[in-house]
Parts: sequence; structure tokens; C-alpha cells
Amino acid sequence: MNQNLATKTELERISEYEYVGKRVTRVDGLPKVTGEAKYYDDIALHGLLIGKILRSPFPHARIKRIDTTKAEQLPGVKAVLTGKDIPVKFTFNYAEHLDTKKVEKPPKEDVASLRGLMPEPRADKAPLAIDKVRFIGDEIAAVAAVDEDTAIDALSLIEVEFERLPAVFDPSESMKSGAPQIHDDAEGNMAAHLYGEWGNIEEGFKQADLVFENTFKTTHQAHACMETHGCVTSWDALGNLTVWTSTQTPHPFRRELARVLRIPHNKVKVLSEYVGGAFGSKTEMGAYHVICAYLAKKAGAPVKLRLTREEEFMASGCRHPYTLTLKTGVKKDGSITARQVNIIVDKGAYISQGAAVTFYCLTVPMPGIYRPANYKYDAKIVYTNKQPPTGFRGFGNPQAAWAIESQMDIIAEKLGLDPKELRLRDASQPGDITLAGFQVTSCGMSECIKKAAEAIGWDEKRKNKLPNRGVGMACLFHSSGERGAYGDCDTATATVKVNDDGSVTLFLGSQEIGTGNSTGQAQIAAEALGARIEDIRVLMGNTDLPAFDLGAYASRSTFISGNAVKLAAANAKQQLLQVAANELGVKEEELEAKKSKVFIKSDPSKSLTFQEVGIAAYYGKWKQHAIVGVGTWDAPSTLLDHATGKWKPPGMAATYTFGCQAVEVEVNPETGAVKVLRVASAHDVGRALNPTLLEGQIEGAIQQGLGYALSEDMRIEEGRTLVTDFRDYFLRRAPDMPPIQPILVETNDPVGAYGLKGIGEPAMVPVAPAVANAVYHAVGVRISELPITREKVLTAMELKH
Amino acid sequence: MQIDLRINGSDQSVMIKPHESLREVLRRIGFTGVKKGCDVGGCGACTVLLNGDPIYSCCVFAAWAQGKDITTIEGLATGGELQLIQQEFATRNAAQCGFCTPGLIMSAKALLEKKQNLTEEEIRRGIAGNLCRCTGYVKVVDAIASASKK
Amino acid sequence: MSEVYRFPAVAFRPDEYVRAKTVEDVVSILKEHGDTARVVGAGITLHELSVMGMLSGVKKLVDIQQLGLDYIEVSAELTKLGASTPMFKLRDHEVFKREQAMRAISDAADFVPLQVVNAATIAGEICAGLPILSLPTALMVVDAKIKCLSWEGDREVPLENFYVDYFLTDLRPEEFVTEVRIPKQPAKSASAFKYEKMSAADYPLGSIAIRITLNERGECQDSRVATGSLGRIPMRVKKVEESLNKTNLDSQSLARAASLLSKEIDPITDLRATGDYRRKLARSLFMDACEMAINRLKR
Repeated sequence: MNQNLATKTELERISEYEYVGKRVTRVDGLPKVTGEAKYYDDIALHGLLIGKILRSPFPHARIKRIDTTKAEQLPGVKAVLTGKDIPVKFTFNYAEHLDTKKVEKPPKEDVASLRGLMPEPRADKAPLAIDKVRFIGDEIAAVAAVDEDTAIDALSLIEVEFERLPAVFDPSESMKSGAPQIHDDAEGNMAAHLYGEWGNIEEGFKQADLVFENTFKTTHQAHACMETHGCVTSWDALGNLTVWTSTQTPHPFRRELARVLRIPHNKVKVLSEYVGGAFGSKTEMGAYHVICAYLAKKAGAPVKLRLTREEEFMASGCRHPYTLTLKTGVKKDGSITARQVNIIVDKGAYISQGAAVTFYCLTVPMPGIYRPANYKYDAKIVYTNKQPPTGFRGFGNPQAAWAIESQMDIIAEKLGLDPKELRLRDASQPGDITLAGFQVTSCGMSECIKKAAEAIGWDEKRKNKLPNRGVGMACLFHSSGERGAYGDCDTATATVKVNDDGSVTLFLGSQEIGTGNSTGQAQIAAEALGARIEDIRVLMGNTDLPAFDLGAYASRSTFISGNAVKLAAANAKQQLLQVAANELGVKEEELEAKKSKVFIKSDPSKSLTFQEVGIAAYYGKWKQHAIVGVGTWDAPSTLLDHATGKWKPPGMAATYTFGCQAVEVEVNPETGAVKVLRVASAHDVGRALNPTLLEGQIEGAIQQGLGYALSEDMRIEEGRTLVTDFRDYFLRRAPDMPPIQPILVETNDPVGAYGLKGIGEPAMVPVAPAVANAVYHAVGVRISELPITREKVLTAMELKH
Repeated sequence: MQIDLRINGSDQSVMIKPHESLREVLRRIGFTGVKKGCDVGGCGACTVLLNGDPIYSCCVFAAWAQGKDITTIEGLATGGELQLIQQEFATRNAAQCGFCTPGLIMSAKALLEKKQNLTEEEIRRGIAGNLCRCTGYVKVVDAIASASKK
Repeated sequence: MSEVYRFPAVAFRPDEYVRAKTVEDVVSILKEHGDTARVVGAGITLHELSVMGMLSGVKKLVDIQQLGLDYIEVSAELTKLGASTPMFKLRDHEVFKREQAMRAISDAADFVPLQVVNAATIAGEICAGLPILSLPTALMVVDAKIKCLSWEGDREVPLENFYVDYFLTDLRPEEFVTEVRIPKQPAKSASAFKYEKMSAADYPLGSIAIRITLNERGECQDSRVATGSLGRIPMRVKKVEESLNKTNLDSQSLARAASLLSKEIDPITDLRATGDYRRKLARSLFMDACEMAINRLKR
């Protein structure tokens, strides 16, 4: 516990809880600071081989012939694979086997009400190219050898005969007729087309006093996790597979891999105890996972396949670039009568999570934030011959915010309103139901706006503007959880076992990816069970544990699994109290548990330690023996309703998150450099389970957001990713970070355990537009295309004068 | 070729290939706390101390490091006792995913050895060579500043 | 029309790492192996080049740590820097902070990441041939010369003549750098090095070094202006120097010189910036560097 870090306010609060609200020290800190923590690249296994992937040098080509003879003959090479060895095509959460007779599915109902929100999954990617390569970096072949040098040498011995095909790199070019077709079954290179209308957009624009139409562009942002993608796979003689990997979703990943390998799930064990950063890039099975499993099978030995940093930049996924045209109708009082958005999504060569990301963008923030009365959307997700982007913290929301929040300031200026005032007028309120049908329950948006503004000194700095200095703000509307990614559920199951000596084991299906998730859940377990947190050992990152969770994405971990843990702990507590009641000769209702002791409420001196209860349970005469509590929780959210084409409340998630960031910048008029002086970031967190962990999430997300805003741009030219290592990708380093003030606003969510909500993604969402708005205030130039580089600012300033 | 390395105070003879970097060799002989975050010289996850000064172990040949005192993260805690900087990192949430942590702690350790009462600027400059994607460096700086005062 | 593609085999696989004990050892290895041998400073640039697949032809690595080339010797007439001197010693040495004429060097050597400053040697920084490295630009304005040794003998090359093209220096395959020599600096001189970076630990996207020498009347008697990251090579811009000379360094003369600089350079476009932007940046860097140097002249 590190209560000496607590603020005065936190200490002054009535201490109703032992652990909830406290700055509990992370339970997983020690192995990280001693170097003991083992990530997949640190796993040592007898006979471990090194795998390497041969990647396409061309953006678009047919493979006529592959000859691997020379590679196979190189001493030290144990297995070589090409596309014919893995007859599978897959995408996010879906795969098709090419060697089985395809069962004819009945034609999908053309449900008009769904209006293009539910595209069919497209299994468009083969782990190793079967007929074509579609981007520079596309996997063609793979080898496993005794060491890395041999594997690298083997790659250059593989002969591939290519037939070059014309390639297309710009999505607007790619959509035109006559453009090279990238996938046989995607006409006009349309991976998916999401479109629809809620309300009556024509009416909405008629009611508007003013109409604004602006175009915004975002860029490829690399996740830049410090640990690259990869895995170690090992088969045993019984056909059981162990996979050590870095993943956010061990359980769904297990399902995806088992499905491809056509083996039962109980034969696949996924181990991911330590994950070196993920941020949305590790929520799906990758080609490398399948390749590695096949290499290990063929070689008869375990194989490690790790992406180099160059491969990571080239082929591991990044944020989808969007071109958004946003048309908004407003009344003079600032209320939004109509919001219409047209998006072109540069999907790269394979669909991956492209539809899922855009779906989120179009259904959560777009129809929700600032309460538009009518809404129409059209998003074309277009294939190009470039690396395929995937999910990234915010999941389409940062792109939405870039457009909406930038335009809000344009609107405010025209209406003669302070940007803060406009946002306060349009802020979400508890009880709102968005056009998508999402119900806002707990909501602290207005409070967040006021607090962020106050922290940055908004009123003073808007009134008395200093030369080249400005303040800007932006808000966010996100969710905790998302129903529908894997089925009609948004669920987790956890197990709490009180051992025979009273020590406690918490089995989590929920994944720790650095956020502090496992610590938060240990706090909940301790609180709900009445145990001391130091008596709890958390086990997770192992799919063989008796627990389950869909994964660490959509800011759902503590919200969803936290409730499962709370139930599991309550269940275990009930069993514990039953034994204790028997031992003490009282009724269960007379007992309470705290600090690993069970005591009689009316006479606390009569108590038993958990250890005493444990022994009595396991080895004693009472009916209750092993104390194992299981808790399952499914968010009371809903799926998109076929009949109406929207959601019934509460909607896709059981709760929504809100926040506001305010930024102060100083622009150098000679160089165009934007220096961020301060960031104030206010978040409606429901209940601050552990302020230290929440702050950590906010601070980290802001580092990513500032990079997105100012300098992170993974440039791809003629299909070639120009960034090959960190020297070419400009991430914020310690001296580049401004002071950050995280502000936690509590609204006591009715659904989250102890009132909490998620925080993983929200702080990433508003950063870029807050900076753009501050730059506009500072020097009067509006940059609509990310990132806000020196050059763009300087050029815009010159044009102005 | 065979080289002699002095790692965490103890001498080791290792067979290496001429082109192998110090990072490769250290990891191969078991010092997996020296992390591989990038291909060469950009992230700092492989930071070790050479005669007390932080360097990128991915950028120097193992053979070049012969005769120098190499300290890795594994050499800090002795007999299970954490050094102060490690404790500060662990208790302040300065380590989130933990991948950059060993390298960061080595840079921090070197800074702390050089000077007491480091300023924020000195700390930030001192860890500029270590990339972190999780923390925004806020609590990392807090941890180092706190250790610096003690 | 199909083609069989040859996947490049560019792995870096030297067969020997030689620990040279004397200068003659190095000379004879380089004589025998020429371009297939590389002298190792700290190895930073070599590692970067190897990952890029550019060193597949290199077979011999020559370690020069035992040659005693790690020194900074200051005398009245000459400052001598041994090839193996690590950058941090340059940064911390008082002569580059005390003598205003040499301040550009301590400016250039005081960069982050520390992990590079602690290991990189000055010969490595010079021989890498990359305009994005700071030291060469700073050394040019103090009239540094480098000593290159081969079996054919010693030769002294003024640093401003050392750079031929991106990655290409005047260093011959059988040569290696043993020393950098900085002559006695003219009286009433001050230098400065100014840069702009995308992030703290990045290479400069543009840099300028300036040395100004005043006459008794306080006018600019002589100057040196060198650019880094603004073209394919670090270079002196003599036309700009001429433009400054004989002026009293008032804002008009500086602005005129800055304008001329913008026109004289041929800046590259890369991931960090376009040539156009670099042209504009050059003016701003130049003005800032002049201001720094002029302030130092007052000391």
C-alpha cells in the first residue's frame, strides 16, 4: 500500500472500504523491476528453434512458383513452409479451411434495418500467401532453424517467381473503376461498406441555422509496443500445444488458433503472464501464430518466432487512417440538429478489424457525443496495397474526435461562443439515449469540462491571450465494454479459492497488459472477500486456469471481470462463513470477514483467522471442504436489434465513459514547432478503484495522444513502409512530455463493481483535437490533417499573413 | 571466438561469433532482463551499465565489451533485497507493462550514482534514451526524483 | 511476365574480430583487407548499418581500444583529440566550455540519449558520413583537421573537405582516423551550435554551427558557418561567411546572411522534413546560432 502518495482529499474521504479507492501497490511490480518477469522471448526450452518469415518485396504480385529446396537442404534448417502447407484463410475471429468441402450457407437475410452495419466476415488472409501477395511485408514462406543466423540465411535461399501486378495505394484511387483488384471477391476494392441513418437527416439540416462541412484526415499511427509481436509454440507427444505469446485476449485467441489447427480447445494452452504493451495490436490471432504452430509441428521441436522491430513497423498493424467529411447543422444556441459523416477508411491489404473499428466509430461517438438530433453515416472501408491496420486504443474514436472536436471549435467561433460554453451546452447528461439507442446512466461530462477548464486556467487564458500561446479543449464519449465482438455476450468468469491455510488464490481469465488490471481485481477480491490483499495471489495469463474472459480491450477489464471477481469472492466468502459459523456455533448472518479474519459482528473478539477456517473446512467434519467461489458476470448490454436497426437501451455497453482534456500550447512562429505546455485531463471514472493506476493510464494515453497529434506518422510510400526502426518514428521521450494533471471525477456507476468504469482508452481520444484547437487559439491556423507538424503550422501561418 | 566478460561482478568466459552484439550474448547466457525492444539503438530496453555508464548493449560488439564492468538489472537486487530505485519503481506504478523497466532502471541507477537531488530536467534528459509507451514517464520521473532525495 | 526474385543475402558475418595492439597492426590489416575491414569505434554506426544490410561485405573487424587513442591534449597551439575519445569526454572537458571559440563543440557533444554519448567515439561520429550527426558540423567551424593513417603514410584532411556525399567520406579503404586536431583559435572568437529535433533523442532535422571572430572595432573579421542535416553532407557555406565578414553583425546583416543561407543550401527531403521546410528552418537556426555566438563574444 502506498497511502503516502494519496492526496489530501482521498485521505479525508470516509474510509468505508479497505481497498477500494486506495493507492494499492501493484501486485505484479516486483518481477518487473528485478528483470525476472519472463516475456515470450525470454522462454528457454530444450531444443528451441528459431523461426523466420519470408516477406513479400512487392506490393501486389501473383506467386507463380516457390522453390524451397535449397533452403531445406541448408544444414541446421529443420522445417520450411509455404502457403500450400497451411490451407486456411482467416480474419478477426473467423477462419475458413480451404481443404474441406465448403458447406453452402443459406443466403444471409438482407435485413434492411441493419443498413450495412453488419458486414459478413471476410476470411481474406492466408497465413502464408497461397496465390497472391498484396502488400510489402505479406507473408510468403517460413523456416525454422537451429539459430537465427541459419534461419536468416535459409530465407535468402528460397526462390520465388512473381508476376508483378499493378498496385494501388490511395483509397480514393482504389475505389475507382479500373483500379487493380486486390481481392477477387471485393468489387471496387470495397472490404466493407457501413451506412445508415438514424432520424431524418434532411429534416435535421432544414432545422439548422448554420451548416458546417469540413474534411479531416488522420494518419497511420504505430502502436510501438516495446515488446514486438511473436510467440513460442511447443507440441507434446499427445498433441497438446502450448503457446507463449503476448496477447490481450488469451481465451478468444485460443479459440481462433484451435479452430485453425482443428484441435479441441483443451489441447491448446495459451500463456501470456507478461505482455510488453499491446494497445489494441494484440487482440487477434496473427499469421505468425499459425505459422509458428505449423513450423513446430513439422520440425518436431518448439519454435520461437519473434517479429523484429522492422517487421513490427511493416506488418504488425497500426491505426486506420480515415478521411472524414463531417457535415453538421446547428442552431444558433449551439444545439446540433444534424450530423452527417462520410468516411473513407484506408484498409490496407486485409480487412482484419477494419469493420469492427469503423463500426465503433459510427455507433458510439458519432451519433452520441454532443447529442445530435439526426444522424447519417457512410463509411467505405477500402482495400489498398499497403500493410493492414488493426485495432488501436480508442478504436475509431480518436479519428471521430479529430473531426468532431476540431469542428466544434469552428462552430463555436462562428456562433460567437466560447468553445467551453458550446460543449457545456451540448454535453451528455445522465438519462440521455443516443440515436444509436445507447443509454447514458452515470455521466460526469459537464463536471469534467468544468474541471479540466479550471485546471488549465481556461477563462483567464481565453480572456487575456498571450502571443503565440493558446488553450484548447476536447471531450470524449467512450464505452466500458462492447457486446457483440464475440457473440451475444460481454462476459467474464473468475474463481476465488481460499486455500487450506487461509491464503487466497484469485484465478483470472482477464488479462494484465500493463494497466494494473490484475491489481485492481485483487483489490476487489480482497474487498469482497474480507481478505488482506497481501494474502491474495493472482494467477492469470493462462487459459488452463478455471476462469474466462473475452480480453483486455474496449476498456472493459476491470468493469466486466471486476464484477465477476466480486461475485466469485462473495461466493467464496459465503462458503467461508458457513464453515466459520459451524465452528463458532453461530448463524452465518452474525458473521463478517475483514483482514483475513472472520468475526462475530456483535462481539469481534470472537474470531477465527482464515487459516483456522481453512483447516476446519478442508480437513474438518463440515460439509464444506475446498472453498472455491466462482463468479460469472455478463454486462446487461444489448445487441444491434434487427427489427429496428438500432439498439435497445442500455446499448452496446452497460455504461459509457466521458471526459474532457484541456491543453495549453506555445507555437514558435519561426519554426512552426508546437510546444505543449500543460495538459489537464478530467475523466468520469465512476469510482476511482486505485487512483495511482488510473493516473498511470491517463498519463500513458496522453503520451500516445500527443505523438498522434504532433509527430507520429508511419509513412508509407509506394507501398513501402519507410519507418524501419525508432530512429524514423518520432515518439515522445521523457524530455518531450509536458506536465500532466489527471483529474478523477466520480459519478458512482450503477453497474460497475463499487461504482467503477473503465479508463484504458478514453484518455487517448481527445488529445489530438485539443492540441489542434489550442494551436488555433495560439496562432489562428487550423490544421485538419494529422500530424500537426512544424511544416504544416509554418506554411499555414505564412499563408495567413 | 572466446571472450571474457565481467557481468555483475562475476567473470564469465563465453563463446561468441564476432558479429554478436553484447545484447545478444547477454541474453543467450541467461540475462533475459536485458530486453530486445528494437533492432538497433533506439529504445533503450537493452540498456546495461558499462563501467557505471549506461549504454545500448545492442549497439556494441560483445567482443568490444571485454575487460569492462558490465552491470545488468539482474545485478542490482542482492540476496532478494531490492535497491531503493527498484522499490520506488515498484511502489509508484512506474512499471506498467514492465518491458522497458529494466533498461530504465539501469539509466536511473547511473543518474542516481552521479548526483544527489537531481532536478526534473536532469532526470528527463538522463532517461531520454529509454522509450516507454505505457507510463508517459510521469511516475518514472517521480520514482527517480524520490530516490534521489533519499 | 514473371520474374524470379533474388531475396538479398545481406547478413553481416565477419569472420574475425581482431584486437589490434599497435597502430602498425591496424595499418597492415587495412592494407591487406581494405574495404572488407572496418575499424570499430564503439560500433554504434556499424550496428545500424549491419541491420540495414549494408555490411555484408565486411569480413574483418578491428578493435583499436588498446592503441591508447583515448585522449584530449590541450596546449597553447593545438588541441588534439584521440580517435577513440568517447563523446562524453568531449562534452565534459572544460576547454570546450571555457574557450568561447570552441563552445560549438560542447554544444554538439551535449546531446541525448546518454547511452550514445557514453559510448560513441569521435572518430566514429566523424567517419559515419551522415549529415545528421552533430559533431562534424561543430568541428568544421573550429577549423578541425583529421589525421588519417595508412600504409602509405599520414595525411591531414581539413574536416570541411572530408565529406563527399551521403555516407561517403574521403577516407580511403586502407585508412583509419587516428586523431582530430583543432588549431589555436583566433582571439575574440565565439562559436555556437544550434539544432531542431523532432523529439529529444532524435537526430537533428537541421543544425547550424557558427564561429564569429571580431576585429578591434567589434566588426565581424572572420566567420565560419557550417550546416548539418540541411544537405547531403555537413558543409561550410563560404558565401554566407563572406556576407557576414566586415559587417557589424547588426540585424540587417544577419538577416541578409540568413536569406543567403536559405538560397545556398540544397536541403534534402526525408521523413523528418521537406527541403522547403529545411530552407526556412535554416534561417531561424542561423539567427539563433548567431545570437548565441554574439552573446558569448561579450564574455
